[in-house]
Amino acid sequence: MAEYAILYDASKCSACKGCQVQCKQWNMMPSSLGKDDNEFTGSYQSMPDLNGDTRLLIEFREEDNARGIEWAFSRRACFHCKEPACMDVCPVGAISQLPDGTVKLDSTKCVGCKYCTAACPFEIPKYRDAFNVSNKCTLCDDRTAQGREPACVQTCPAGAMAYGPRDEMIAAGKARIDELKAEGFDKAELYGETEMGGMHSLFVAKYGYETHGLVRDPKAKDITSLMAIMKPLTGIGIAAVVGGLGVSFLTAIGYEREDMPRGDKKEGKQ
Amino acid sequence: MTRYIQRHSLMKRVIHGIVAVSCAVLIVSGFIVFVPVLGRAAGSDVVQVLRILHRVFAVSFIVAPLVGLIFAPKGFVHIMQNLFAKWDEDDKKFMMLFPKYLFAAKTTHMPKQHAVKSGQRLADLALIAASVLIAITGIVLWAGQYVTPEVFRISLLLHDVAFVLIAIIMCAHLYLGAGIFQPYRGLHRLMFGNGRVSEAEARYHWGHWAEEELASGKNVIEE
Repeated sequence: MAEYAILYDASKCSACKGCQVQCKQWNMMPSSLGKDDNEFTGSYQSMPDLNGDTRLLIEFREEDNARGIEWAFSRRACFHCKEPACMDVCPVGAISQLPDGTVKLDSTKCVGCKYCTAACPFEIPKYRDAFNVSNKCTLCDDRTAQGREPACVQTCPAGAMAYGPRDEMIAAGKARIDELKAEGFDKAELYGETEMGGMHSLFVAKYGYETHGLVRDPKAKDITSLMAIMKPLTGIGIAAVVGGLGVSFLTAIGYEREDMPRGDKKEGKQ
Repeated sequence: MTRYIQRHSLMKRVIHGIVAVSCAVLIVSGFIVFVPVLGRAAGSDVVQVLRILHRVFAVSFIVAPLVGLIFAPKGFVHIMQNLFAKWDEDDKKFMMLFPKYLFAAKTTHMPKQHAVKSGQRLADLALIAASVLIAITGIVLWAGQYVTPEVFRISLLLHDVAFVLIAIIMCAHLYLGAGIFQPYRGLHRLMFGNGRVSEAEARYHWGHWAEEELASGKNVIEE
């Protein structure tokens, strides 16, 4: 099966947040309705970061450049890495990779241990308190399985998002980067082609990775790698100790204290 | 008539028993989560039950020693004094000979020891340090939604490090303490029995301590 991907074009995004709303609506994620429930971010951004009930967030980043102040919008959601660190650490196999590249988190299997958040270089999965599970974008796998686009893509009025075969999305993204560079946006880059083995959510970064808050050359957290090393080391350590004690046991069989006294008996004190 | 020395109080034995059972459950339930292959094989429902058990027994693992500390502070001080007692020549000699003793017990003569053998003092200190570390990091992990991912990551790593230490030390502790090691057979009765040790056993294991106890007669029982 061909790999599929979303292509988000920050240069076309108007930050209307329609995708945010549609994501919540399709996936039945509630929003805070109380006054001042969300911390004020100092901008039009809805909330500081993703949370247990929010799988997709449009970030507002202000760029002060030669043209004046410009907004660098960013789509913050799971990138659906080809080498997902979250999947490796999940202790119950709640995170899986579908043939089309989607990294799916099955909330019915999730036990809420938060290891996926700890392992993700982007800290994307968030704990959903009310259900004791982690939550993240599933690329609307229920929709795509029926030949439909992810909800966010379908609703985007600016045409800033597209969904299709990954190689086609990469080609479209690269073509758009060429156009942007021709228009004078020298730092424009396509994110996700090779990062983390190749992502299934690509990003046309009009002002370059850093301005859009994208991690350059992301890697699974070092601590996660250390933990992965510790598991075989633990096995070897325990096996060595048990093996050594086993040998000790065999050599001590038949031990009789009266025959082999301690130092004090040897000294005639016992 | 046999002379016995009361080595461990009832409170110490009860607390040790609670901690031992808690530790066993924590190691098994933690191991399932520690090795994802096992957790995935067991299924999320089983893992969820084990995670709840892990938390229940984590509470008893932490609370039981604290109860002992509150209700028997002198006992706690006594344990600490023994653990940090200055090493004499016999202590050093014991430690030097211990590896040989493990593999050639029939031909190794060990020196007399005080209330806690020098090797056990080291193992106990490592075990206590690892237990404190695993308890603190465990509480942080339990409160995971209120800490940053970075704090969670570091706590998880330290929790795993402490787990490895405890698992390895417990193998040795079980081997010696339960008397699987032939020269130590019968020692399980000290913590899982009436806490008494016969004069002969006491002289064999803790010569200096036995002499002090027999001289004072305070904890000596004749039956």
